[in-house]
Amino acid sequence: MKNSKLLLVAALATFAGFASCSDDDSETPVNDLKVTVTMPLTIQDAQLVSGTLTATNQATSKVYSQDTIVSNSLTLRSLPVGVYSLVFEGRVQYTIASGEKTYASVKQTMDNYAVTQSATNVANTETLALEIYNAKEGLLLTEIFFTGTTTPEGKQYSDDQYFKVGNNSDDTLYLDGVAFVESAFLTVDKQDYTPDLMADALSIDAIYVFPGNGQDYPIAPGEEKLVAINAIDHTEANPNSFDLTVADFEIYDESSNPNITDTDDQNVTNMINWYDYSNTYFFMHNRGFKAYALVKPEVKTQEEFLAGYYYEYTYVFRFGEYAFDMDGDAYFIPNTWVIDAVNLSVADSYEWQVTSETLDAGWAHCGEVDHDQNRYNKSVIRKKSGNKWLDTNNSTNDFESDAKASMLK
Amino acid sequence: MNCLKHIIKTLLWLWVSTTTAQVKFSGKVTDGATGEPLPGAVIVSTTRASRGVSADQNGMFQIERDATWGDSVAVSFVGYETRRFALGTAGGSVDFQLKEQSTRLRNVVVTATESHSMTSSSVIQKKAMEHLQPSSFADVLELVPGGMAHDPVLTTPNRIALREAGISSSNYNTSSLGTSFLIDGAPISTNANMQFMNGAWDSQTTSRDMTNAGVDMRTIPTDDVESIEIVRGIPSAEYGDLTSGLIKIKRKKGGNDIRARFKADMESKLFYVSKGVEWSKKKWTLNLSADWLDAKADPRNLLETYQRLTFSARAGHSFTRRNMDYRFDLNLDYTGSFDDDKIDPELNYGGVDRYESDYHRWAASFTMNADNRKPGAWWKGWDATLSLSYEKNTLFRQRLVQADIMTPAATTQREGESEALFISPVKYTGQHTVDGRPLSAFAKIQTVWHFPVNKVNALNRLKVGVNWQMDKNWGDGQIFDPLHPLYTGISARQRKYSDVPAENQLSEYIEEDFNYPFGLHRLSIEAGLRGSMMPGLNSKYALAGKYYLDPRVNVGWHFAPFKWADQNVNILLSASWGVHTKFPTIDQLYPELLYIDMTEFSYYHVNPNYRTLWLMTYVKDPTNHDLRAARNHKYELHTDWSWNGYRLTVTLFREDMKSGFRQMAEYSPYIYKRYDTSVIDGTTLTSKPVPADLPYEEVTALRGLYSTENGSRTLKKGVEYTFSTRRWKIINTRLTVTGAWFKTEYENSRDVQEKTSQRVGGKELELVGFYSDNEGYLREMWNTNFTFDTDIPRLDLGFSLSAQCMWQTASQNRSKSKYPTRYMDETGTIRAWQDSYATEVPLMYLVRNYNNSLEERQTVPFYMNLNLKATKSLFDRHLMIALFVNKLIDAHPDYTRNNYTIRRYVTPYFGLEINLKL
Repeated sequence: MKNSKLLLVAALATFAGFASCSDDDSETPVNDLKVTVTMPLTIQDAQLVSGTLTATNQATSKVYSQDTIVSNSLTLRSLPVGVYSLVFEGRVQYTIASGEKTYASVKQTMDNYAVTQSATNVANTETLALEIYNAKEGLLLTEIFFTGTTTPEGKQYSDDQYFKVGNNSDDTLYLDGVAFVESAFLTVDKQDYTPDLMADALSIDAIYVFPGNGQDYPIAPGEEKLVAINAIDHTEANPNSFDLTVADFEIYDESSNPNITDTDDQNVTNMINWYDYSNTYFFMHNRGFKAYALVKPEVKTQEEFLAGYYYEYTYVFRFGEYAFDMDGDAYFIPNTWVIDAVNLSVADSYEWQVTSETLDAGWAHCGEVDHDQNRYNKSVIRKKSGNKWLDTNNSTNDFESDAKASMLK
Repeated sequence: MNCLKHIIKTLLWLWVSTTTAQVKFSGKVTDGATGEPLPGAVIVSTTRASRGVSADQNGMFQIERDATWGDSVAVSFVGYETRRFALGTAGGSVDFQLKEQSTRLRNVVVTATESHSMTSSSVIQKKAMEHLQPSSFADVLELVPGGMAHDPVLTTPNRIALREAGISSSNYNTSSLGTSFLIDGAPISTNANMQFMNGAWDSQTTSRDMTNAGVDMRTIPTDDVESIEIVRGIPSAEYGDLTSGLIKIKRKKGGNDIRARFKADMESKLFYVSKGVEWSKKKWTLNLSADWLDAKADPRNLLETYQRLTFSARAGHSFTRRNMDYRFDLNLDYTGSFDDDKIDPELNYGGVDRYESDYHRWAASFTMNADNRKPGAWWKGWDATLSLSYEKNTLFRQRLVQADIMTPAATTQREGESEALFISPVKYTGQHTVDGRPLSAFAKIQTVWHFPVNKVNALNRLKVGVNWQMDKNWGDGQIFDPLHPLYTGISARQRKYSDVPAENQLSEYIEEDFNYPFGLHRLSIEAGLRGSMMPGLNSKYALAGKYYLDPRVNVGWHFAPFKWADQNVNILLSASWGVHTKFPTIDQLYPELLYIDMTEFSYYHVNPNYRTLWLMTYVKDPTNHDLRAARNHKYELHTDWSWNGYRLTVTLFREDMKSGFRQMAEYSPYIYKRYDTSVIDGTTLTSKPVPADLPYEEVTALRGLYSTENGSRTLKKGVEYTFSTRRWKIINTRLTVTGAWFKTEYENSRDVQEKTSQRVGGKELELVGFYSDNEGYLREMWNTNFTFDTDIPRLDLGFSLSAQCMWQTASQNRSKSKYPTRYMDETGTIRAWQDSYATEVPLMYLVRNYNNSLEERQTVPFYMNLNLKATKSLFDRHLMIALFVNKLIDAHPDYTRNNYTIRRYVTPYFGLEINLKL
């Protein structure tokens, strides 16, 4: 059903392509270009679902495109001979370890490709090895303040949690459709979760998505956006805290239960809840035992995600003298969707990474031990090198742990 | 021994006739050493075996001798040497004293003994108590089959669990609630205990909640104890308002000494002092005693403490007038029990956080009994007990509260929409007090009859009695400031306990104890019927006017003693069946109103004056008018063998209680308006937004109403055994083996409703699943204690080594429904579940996480602790020092499970004490 729709779209697009070609000036010699794409090696059973090949003539800036795919090949007919920049962008379906199918974006580019004339009318051919591509690449979690502050009496106050998202690329990016997720597993509790999706996917228990239709929430190169769990002036309840009404976004969980006292600041844009394992309100693990990530869901709708990315796992739970097989459930985010992931833990309890090491090979922390009373008011902040944030996919290197929260002036 | 009392009912089939008595004798059979009566002792003619009688509950008997009797009788009793006594010619009063059948050098039993009754019951004497060195009643349970020494935990309440492998869940507290404690005949009622803190979630408070869980064993001191009988089997129909067990504590009377005890162990110190006065001539006794226990959770922790203070004054008087023995006892008692839990000042916010639970109990009991010693009288006497107790209990919790801004205060008392007041300031010292003043009264009148039975010298005894029990709580109840509550967002309001009605129970019972000799064999039947009801209960309750009948029957066959190696072998085989009823407590009958508050809109503005929150409140009464009493059906097979000072008892039991009390949720839809606040323009507001100006949609939320139901089943099965030897002469040592195998099953007996807990697409899911199998816990244990106790009179030294072996514990869970059978959608409509829903959003969230590996039986293998206890008397026994070391040596082998090696460690626990006797 889905495939036939895609074919229809492709067919229409092909017509459009012919139409644009028809008013070509045919004074220069032309030849066909057949580009064959090969699937990325990092994913399994990849199949191209759709894609567009564009060839931009470097001399004329004229753009030629093709999205009819036959056996992973696309042919641009009658290209004027010349030097082109080739770009292929597409979407593949592939299988992750659990056997579930998912989608990823792929891209490859090639500059200075010369289309030549052939006497025998043999088409030019080229092969492009596709790579996983994330259009939001460049967005980073630049600070996570999960510990909360302390009141003048020394009591913990955790309503003032926040995180910041920065744009480390040279282009304006859009937060629209990007999601913030929390890992389902704890870095201090290693279990043999089966099926083990870790190499291919991140198991999560909550996902909140930035609103927008594509270009509503731009973020300039080097800019940071502040996302508050609760965008109120926290100094009202705790003089040691700060004002988060300045936040760009907030996570608001509406509830009919008066015990759930989440407040909605109408001046701050709300993130959209897709799923949270708890029906109270979202807050980050305040001892910092989880991983957080920015992801770009490669699904068309929330419903598609909710129905297709849920899985059950089992593990052996040990409690004192007992050990049981246990069941749990979580949503999974294929690693190809992940833009940036940060593991958090503490030294005395750390057991493992809850993301694939390719996403994050280290972990950042506030405090050294479980329930560390010294963790409050501290944050993990991404280091900068010049005017760029450090991004080596290793939070141990990339973050300054135990840093003073940037909102605590 | 005050034990056995199991006497039979079914008097109707006894046909009564007068006999042509020639000479009448009457008297009492007692233990020659202790003077304890020996109920059930058999008196048989030495010339004609078909002529015999047996002693009643108080050891009393009567013989109407005709020519067939001859002139002497043989008196025998299980565990005692059979003796011959001559009967005079004149008739009248004769008393027989028996000597215990052992070659013991002294009558020292430092373990529990199984009583000589037809049902299973453990008797623990003063001497065993001295050797055990307990701090509270909880320590005594070590001696009961299935018991083991445990490190005392005095900073949380101690709940009794007889014949249970045990789980900790308040859904299965009916066993402990249904274990009745009688002190000198007066019950400790907990029916009006409502010392729970509403809305509490912190472990300091919740872990100490004993509401609807029976008696806190910490509060019962052991120093005045003369004997304790723990009836595990079927108690006499005389005792009611219980399901699972009966503990009868008898305290010392008389004596002319001053005693003092000082005990210290790793957690606690105990001081005890008593003075006894006895005017033998006038038969007056007076005993005064006081006890103070000071315990800490950990010797280094001065902040979490428990203290107990008790005073007791007991007076007794007896006299004989016109063939009647009269006895009067008046006891006045005070018990104080104090839990304190503070937080380390360094971590405490200005020192305000603390927990305090004070329990004061004043009790007075007056008992009277009269025994008619007139030979041949049908009417044997009467007993009356009147007891009153008043408690003043205060639970106090204080914390520094840091609320969120816009937290609504729980103030609305009526149904409907209202604007909520915000808790302000958001930081304050919150206090919550629970004031409970249970008043309990108990009255009992019993008469005892004896009808001569036709032809043979069979013996019967008929008890008829009436009980009345009243409980009422006069306390001020839950006290807190709703604008500054300790627990924000609670769904309850302040409540005065004195407004809650009293609870009354009225019971009548009749019990017949019938002994019928067949030669030297003897058939004993104790059959009783107890009827009970709750008078004065509102007719809305199913319990109103409901009359429960508890039949309880013990049938035993005493085989004729036969000789083996020159010694008598006595064998008893008995079977018992009984039904036991426990009425709900006041808290279960009259739960407080539940306030269901729903946020209709919550509007935040930077200017606090414009912040608004509107609530829709529903007021629901969670009273379950269908609530019934909890009933336990017990079956038992029991055998008791004795020979030459050796004794073996084995009991096979099954107890099934399907109607245990349990808190269960019942969900229903509640309609409220969801106002759209996005239309409010915050920049132009001049006053608070009001709902009238806002568009809304009517939506429903599913909320649960928790009420007490008869939804828990506890099925107890097992074998209990005791074996004891005589004291072997050369080494002065005696071996006692006690142990039990228990298999206990706990399960829900009704469908359980559970709401999904996810937030999906920005909304709380409003779905409730109905699951048929929610829980089914199987717990097993098998243990044996081998106690070698040595008594060296020459050195006034006693010591014991107890090897306490846990052969195995096991746990297994029944399958739990992964899929609901039905579900309730957000409109409240209940629909059948279909398999295809398991992959549909959002119904798939009703599928519960469950792995059937939980159904695998998991066992924990053998371990053993070796405990040492020693007592040494000095200065002509005026001073006794004693010590104990539990887990002196232990064996806890490693074992492997799921490829993990599990290592186990224990640390020794020890204590020391000094006793003075002047």
